[in-house]
Amino acid sequence: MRVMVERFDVAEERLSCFGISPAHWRFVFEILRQRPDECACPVLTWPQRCVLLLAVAGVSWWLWRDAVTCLLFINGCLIAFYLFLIAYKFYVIHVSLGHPRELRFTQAEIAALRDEELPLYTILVPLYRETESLPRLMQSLRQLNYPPDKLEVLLLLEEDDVATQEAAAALALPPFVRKVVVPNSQPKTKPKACNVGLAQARGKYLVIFDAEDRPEPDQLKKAVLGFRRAPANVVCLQAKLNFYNQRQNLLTRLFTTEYSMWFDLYLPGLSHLEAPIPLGGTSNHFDTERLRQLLGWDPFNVTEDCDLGVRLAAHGLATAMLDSTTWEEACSALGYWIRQRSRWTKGYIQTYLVHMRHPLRLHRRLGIGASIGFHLVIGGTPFCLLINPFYWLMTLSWFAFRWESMASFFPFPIILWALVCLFVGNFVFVYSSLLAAYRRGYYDLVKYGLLVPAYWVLMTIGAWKGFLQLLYKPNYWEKTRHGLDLEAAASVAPAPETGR
Amino acid sequence: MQTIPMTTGRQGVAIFLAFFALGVAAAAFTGYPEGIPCQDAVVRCGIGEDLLAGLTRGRQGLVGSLRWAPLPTLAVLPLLKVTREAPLGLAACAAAAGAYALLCAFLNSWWARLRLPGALRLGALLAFFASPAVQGHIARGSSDAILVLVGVGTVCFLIEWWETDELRPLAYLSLLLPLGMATRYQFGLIFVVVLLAVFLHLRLRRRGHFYAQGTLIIVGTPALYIAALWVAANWLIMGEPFFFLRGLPWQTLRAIVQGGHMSASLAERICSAGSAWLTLVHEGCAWEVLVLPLLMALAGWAGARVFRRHPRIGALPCVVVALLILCLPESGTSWREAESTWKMARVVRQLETTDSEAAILVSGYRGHDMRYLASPALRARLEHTISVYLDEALRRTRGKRLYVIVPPPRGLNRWEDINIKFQTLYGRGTNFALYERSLDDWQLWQVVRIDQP
Repeated sequence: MRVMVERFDVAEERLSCFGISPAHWRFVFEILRQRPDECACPVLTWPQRCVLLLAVAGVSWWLWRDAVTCLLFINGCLIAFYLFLIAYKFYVIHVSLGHPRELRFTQAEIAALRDEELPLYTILVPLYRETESLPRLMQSLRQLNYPPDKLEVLLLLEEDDVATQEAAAALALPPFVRKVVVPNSQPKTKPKACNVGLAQARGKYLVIFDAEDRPEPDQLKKAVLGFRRAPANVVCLQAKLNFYNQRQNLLTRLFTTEYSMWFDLYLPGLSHLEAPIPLGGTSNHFDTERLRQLLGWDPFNVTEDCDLGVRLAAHGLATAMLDSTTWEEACSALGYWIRQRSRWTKGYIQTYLVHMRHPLRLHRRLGIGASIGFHLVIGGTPFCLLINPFYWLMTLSWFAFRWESMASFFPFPIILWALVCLFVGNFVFVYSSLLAAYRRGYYDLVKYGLLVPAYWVLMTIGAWKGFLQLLYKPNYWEKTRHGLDLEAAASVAPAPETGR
Repeated sequence: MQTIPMTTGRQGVAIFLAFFALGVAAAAFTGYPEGIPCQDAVVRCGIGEDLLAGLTRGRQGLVGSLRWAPLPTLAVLPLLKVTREAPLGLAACAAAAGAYALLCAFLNSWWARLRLPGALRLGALLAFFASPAVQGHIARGSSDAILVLVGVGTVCFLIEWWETDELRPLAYLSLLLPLGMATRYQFGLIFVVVLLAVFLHLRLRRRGHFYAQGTLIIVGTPALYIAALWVAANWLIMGEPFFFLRGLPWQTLRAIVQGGHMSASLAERICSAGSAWLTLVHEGCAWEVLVLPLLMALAGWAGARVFRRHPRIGALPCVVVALLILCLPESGTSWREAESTWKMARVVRQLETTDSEAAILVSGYRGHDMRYLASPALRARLEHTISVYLDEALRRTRGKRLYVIVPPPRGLNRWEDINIKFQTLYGRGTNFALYERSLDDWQLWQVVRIDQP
């Protein structure tokens, strides 16, 4: 491990050029030093590779000896997995619908906060090729309802991103905004930059915002109240994410229903069940010191947010949902959307593999309920996307050609479970999209939830791209392009006609 | 309405498990070894067993009739596997027990949201569950239990949504509506009333075009989906997308529209049609069983509304209604005691005396009754199908005489395929069958075949 860490070292002279102390730089890869088992470098450990090889060999031998029985067994297992996933998702949504799960505060409670009692709050904004987004970012930061003298904003810029550095220099930055330039080094990822910022953060609390984010102005105050009210083991508050360009095109409409389902229905339910929360990549509010104790983000994981959510749970800590929204830009171009989705899938698989290095220890720490959530959400989500096309093809083939040979892989009761998955499961997933759009108050988008099956096809394409990239470029960060939205200067649209 | 702590969720699970176990135990011990289900249970279990055996008849029985809607059969299906060795109909009894147990768990949760005290809630539910009416339903395995569950749930969620505008009751209301239709077609009346209530609510609230649109999509999507599934299943299994609707008296509507040449006046035709359709409303659906549980649920709601500051007093109305239900005697008869079963038993006894080499085609859902009453020897001769395909029956019974047993086209038998496909067979005959004899009010016809043995 010592040799591995040295690969990522940067010479002290270079660090001093960027105003980064050696101790701060050392912190960036501290997780690799102290807890290499929690780091996605490498993605697979040698024991995992051996287990995988043995599994492949075993299945291959069985296929050779008795292909029908082997495929039947695999099919049965996959159908059972789908059933569990459907039942779990239905249960999570039922829990979420039944009781409000987010930390909510009235305007009176927020107004009662006095500026003097507010702690210093650090905002980390990792930036890479974000020249178009910078002006909007500054506007959003200025609109935050938090005393400027209690704010510390660190713009995390990359050494080789001269354009964004120049754009930042050209702006009249408020006094609470400071630029931090991260030396060009591998891995070139957002979590590495965030660790640089975390090492230097002075605030009691810390939050990540992306370049295009528009948080609700009182979000920081709500987070302060949230940390006061939440139990002691809550070290992270996740605000909800949604999009300000929901109606730009069909892709953004579908993306919005998905995000609404995730942040308004699914994560609150998971939070109540104390399952590991796959954090959103932004608007995560942390207790800074406790985040440092956790050694920050994994710089090698391309969904560092998801990984951190699991790591929090594995260390007996918790995430709560905050009833505040940050508005982002939905990726409106299909090509960039697929790249973004591929990174998310790749990251989920990375996270799952990392945390399954010591499965017994993980399950002991999480407990049964949270373990089930971990497997179904973190592992099940990408797995489902990868195997879906096979079942779509089988279903279409059966209806089109009525191949009798297919019946041998669906004996009773597997055929019964498969029919439940097909007719009940798909309905649950589609209907939850309708409910999510309705709950968010996007009544005009409810009907687009019916098109979600087509959206799943796109998700699967992105998932396969990510899976394949995991094999040859596991730590490569697919940068999401921003600024594609048409209404660059539009203000945030409040949720009309809320259904609450 | 208040949100409730999760302890009530755990209470609900405990109530469900406890009441379910009690209900099944009571049904098993009071019924054992005779088994005293109702005809509904016999037919549902019969279809379920055919499904588990992978028979075409099972798939046809599941989807092929609006009268025998699929949800109660699906509810019985998983329990059939467990109760294979048990007396007839225990699976249906268990399904009924499950439905009532779920209803009790639901009412506990609903009343808790109304802030009714826990002890009084549980007392009312115990009285209700232990009542002769409920225990009778469970012992007979009647799928009316599912109707009660869905009906009470629908009304409660409608009220909750009307008051709170929350998504949760709207979602569950929307899911229950098509489930009700898949239990009893008569639930369509409730469906229409609920839809009218939704339209009225949207009109009164005036929250904009998209709010109304979104709400209607939420409400309508489950119903349209289940309807589409049912139609698709009929298309795939029965060969005709609307096969399951054939038992409805469409001819009365045609008579109104096209019957200008008929001697009856328009008013008489309308009355006749109205009578036929009204009969449908009552046939096979015990509306009265829905009234009292609904009254009990609403009594709790009304009490909580009137006595907001005195929850204990507010809980008294539902306790009173529950005690009233407890005092009411059991109504309804078991399958073995029913007149229709006696008649069927007489028909079966007469069938036993027919040519032992001949096959007997029995079509439709009544065939399940017949199979259970028949001796093993007779059962082996029965060709039981849901939908009548004479060519197939002739092919399967090549070299044998083939008879068709035809029930009178009245009441439940009106829905049987033999009376729909061959409307003149009973009483007047057709060109492919020769009258053999009458067995009570059933008729035995011999199918004419060129390879007559």
